[in-house]
Amino acid sequence: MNFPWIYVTTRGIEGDWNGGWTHELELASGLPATGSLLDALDAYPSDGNKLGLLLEDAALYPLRIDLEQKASPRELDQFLLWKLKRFLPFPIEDTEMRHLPLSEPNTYLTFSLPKHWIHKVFEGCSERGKQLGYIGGMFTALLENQGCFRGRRSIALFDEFFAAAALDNKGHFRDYRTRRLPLLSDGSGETIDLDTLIHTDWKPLMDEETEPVFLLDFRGGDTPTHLIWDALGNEGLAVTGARPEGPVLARFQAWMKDGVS
Amino acid sequence: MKGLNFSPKPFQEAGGLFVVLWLVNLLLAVAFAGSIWFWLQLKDRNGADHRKIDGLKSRQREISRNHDARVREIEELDVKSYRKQVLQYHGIQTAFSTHWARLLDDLGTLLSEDVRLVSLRPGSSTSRKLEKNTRLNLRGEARTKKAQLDFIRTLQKEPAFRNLRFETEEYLEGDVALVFEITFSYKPVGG
Repeated sequence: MNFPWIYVTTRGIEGDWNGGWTHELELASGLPATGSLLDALDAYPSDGNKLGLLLEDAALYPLRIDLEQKASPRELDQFLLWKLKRFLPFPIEDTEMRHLPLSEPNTYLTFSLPKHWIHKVFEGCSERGKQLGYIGGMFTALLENQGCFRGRRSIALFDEFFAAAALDNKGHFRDYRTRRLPLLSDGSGETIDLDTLIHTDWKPLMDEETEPVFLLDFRGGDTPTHLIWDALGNEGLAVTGARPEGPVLARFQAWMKDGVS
Repeated sequence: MKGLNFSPKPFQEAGGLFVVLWLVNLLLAVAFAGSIWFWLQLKDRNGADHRKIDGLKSRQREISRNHDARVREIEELDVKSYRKQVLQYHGIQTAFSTHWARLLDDLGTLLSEDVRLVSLRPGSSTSRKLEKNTRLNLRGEARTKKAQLDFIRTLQKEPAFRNLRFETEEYLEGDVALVFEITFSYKPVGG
């Protein structure tokens, strides 16, 4: 994991080399046009031949899909794509999908990206001498590759949504939910509506009284996290996880390296 | 990177298999280097052994040449003539080393009135051994056969002639007496 990363959000593109940089973009959705992304790479050349691309997890269209019956491994992709057809904004013929089984029977978590976008970005990076060896969500990258999340529950806060996940002791996903982050209509666009947040669908996390829940703050601003800690704690959900200093990518790398404490 | 990576060509992680393969490759490289080193050592030792063998072969050829020369020299020797000369020299040496006066004194005490000594000379040995025995050829005359036999018996009993052994005995008819010639060897007393 020791290579340069870029992080794409609805606000723009961030890179962690040359002391860190931000390329402002006004995005209508979670995925920038490939040309804009490659222009940012040209504007901020990096050393080495490796590169990792992180997206906000919501940009990968995470969905829980319940199948009515058990599907064989050979049929599973087709069944899931058939189910996804009504939810994805791009055709299933152009869909690159990853799926994971959840603890509920015949329930799967899917992440999807347009194939043409992946290949254009990958080829663009190859033309610039970079192997784009990772494309995925920031939160799921941590969940999959950092062992501290095994057997724990986690909440990740992003600028416009939050995600909650629970992993078993072997690192398999038990549950994963994504919700839009409730914000107050005070004009700032950053103030979280705590009353709405704490009454969100926390049931899979609230039902268990084991280790405290990790809270990962991937928001771009400097909004303090302790208000959320307090609000969740008042509802009986013990929360832990100090927010490292620095931009989002620096926090990601700190958590990837040392885990969440 | 695992299941949720969308990259068409993910990075390869240094997993357990990678480490094992890396170690195997390292061991193979070490083994190969060791084999090369061992092979070079063997080659050097082989070269030294070959040089030593060449030296030994050269020495063997030299020894063989010397051996052939010695064999030719031996083949050129007249062994029979040489042996004959040796025996003659031995006889002469024996004759010189014989104490003739003492011998005649000893024989004189053995002779009776009916036996007389005609001649006494050193005998030529037919034996291959160069013994320290004295060999004599004695010719005598006896008036009777009995007197001749008595002389022989007395000779055998005489301590001066130890280990006496008769080798030839010959009788010749004389006009008036019995002529006999005996060849005998003995070990001189104190000799």
